[in-house]
Amino acid sequence: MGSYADVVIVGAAAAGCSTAESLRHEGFTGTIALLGEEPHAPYNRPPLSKQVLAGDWSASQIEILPPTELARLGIDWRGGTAAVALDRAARIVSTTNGDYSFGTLVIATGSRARPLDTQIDRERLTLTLRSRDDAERLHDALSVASTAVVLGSGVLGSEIAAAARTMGCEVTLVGRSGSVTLGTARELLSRQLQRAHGSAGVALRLTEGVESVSRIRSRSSVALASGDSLTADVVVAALGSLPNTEWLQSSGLLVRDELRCDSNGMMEMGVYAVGDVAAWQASAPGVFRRNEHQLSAIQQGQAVAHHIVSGQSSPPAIPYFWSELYGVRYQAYGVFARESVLTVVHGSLSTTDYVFVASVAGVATGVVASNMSREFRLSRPLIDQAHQSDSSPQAVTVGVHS
Amino acid sequence: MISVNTDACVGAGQCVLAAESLFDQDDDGIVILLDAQPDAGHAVAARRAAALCPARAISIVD
Repeated sequence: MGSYADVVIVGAAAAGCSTAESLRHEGFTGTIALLGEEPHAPYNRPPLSKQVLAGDWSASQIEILPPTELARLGIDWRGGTAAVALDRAARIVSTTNGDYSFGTLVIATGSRARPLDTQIDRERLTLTLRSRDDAERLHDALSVASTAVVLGSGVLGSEIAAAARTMGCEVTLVGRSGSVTLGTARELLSRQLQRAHGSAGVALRLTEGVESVSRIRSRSSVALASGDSLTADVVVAALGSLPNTEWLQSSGLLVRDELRCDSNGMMEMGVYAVGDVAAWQASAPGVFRRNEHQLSAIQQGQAVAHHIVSGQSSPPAIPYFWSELYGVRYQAYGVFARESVLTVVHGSLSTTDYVFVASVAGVATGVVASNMSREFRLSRPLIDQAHQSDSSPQAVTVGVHS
Repeated sequence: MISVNTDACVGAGQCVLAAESLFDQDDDGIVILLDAQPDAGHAVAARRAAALCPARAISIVD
């Protein structure tokens, strides 16, 4: 009954694909099964909120590994196959498509969009953006909309607001924290991003709570805590993500609902987790953190493949993050703290072209660029050196959420 | 044989850091392929550059 593979990878997005591909590059000759919940061939997520949402790219342009390439690598990809349970003792993953026995298991089930609370959005009027289908649905909705409200002032909210604005909508971006944040760089670029949204004509309401979303004829009305209400054709919630761990509830692997891994991505002998779903051991003891970024997913897959094949650890990866808004590319490398001191090393913060180094207590922890990609790359070794050579408490602790 | 997709490139510079004899960046940070058919000695570096590209903009065909 069921199938067997030497390595069963559950989840076929960036982290799962990187693991599968890296196993082959490492010379692994055993059988590999790559189980994806979605029917689509594996695809990259970052362009969904950028080129795909704007309608510039078709879905075929974001494929990670086309089925022909998967077959050439000897990776048994199964689409439309969602994991429903794990039996660790029997080493079996149950799926919507039958049981898979494994020698080694790699959990890469990712995360999903955090929906707006059902008490607030009783009629499920808000859209979210996570999958390729979501991106196409949102693109279609924005194409015929004249007004949009985006809830959430993180990077996804900014990207959706920018795409909606570029598509001609009147856009209001609603946040709670008072800042517009940008991934790993947190609120350090808030002033610059507020200026970018403002110049593009996006209205910002950054210290607002949302009381309710309700239907008024064919439109939605967003009631804000301040008493104002916003009416829009499309309301999108970009409120962060939740790890897809429900299928592991009875597995005994979850600690406080987290998949806690060591710095090799391992939870127990022959069981690993990678990508958005996985909370890897950080440099500080007892700290486990999910790193929800594309390059982190890729590098965790590579590290786990290396560990499966050789038993050896990979050096810890330094977080890299990027976004693009209104034609300006933002990149961040390293870790950033609220109390960071910023030193501009190229360009000027009052323009769209600059590179700055963030430091805490005199230790450089990260570098951020707006455009100026070459200068950014040339500044990165400074951060590598700081992370390698400096083991002072400051350099270690700045990555921990404050 | 290496090929690059400049439309997908996000200018991270990972490829240049992994294999600076094969890749460079233009003034906008977009990848420039310096050598599409490097000798076998560069195969590992080329593979590493492709694997570390966050945009998956680099393809290698054996």
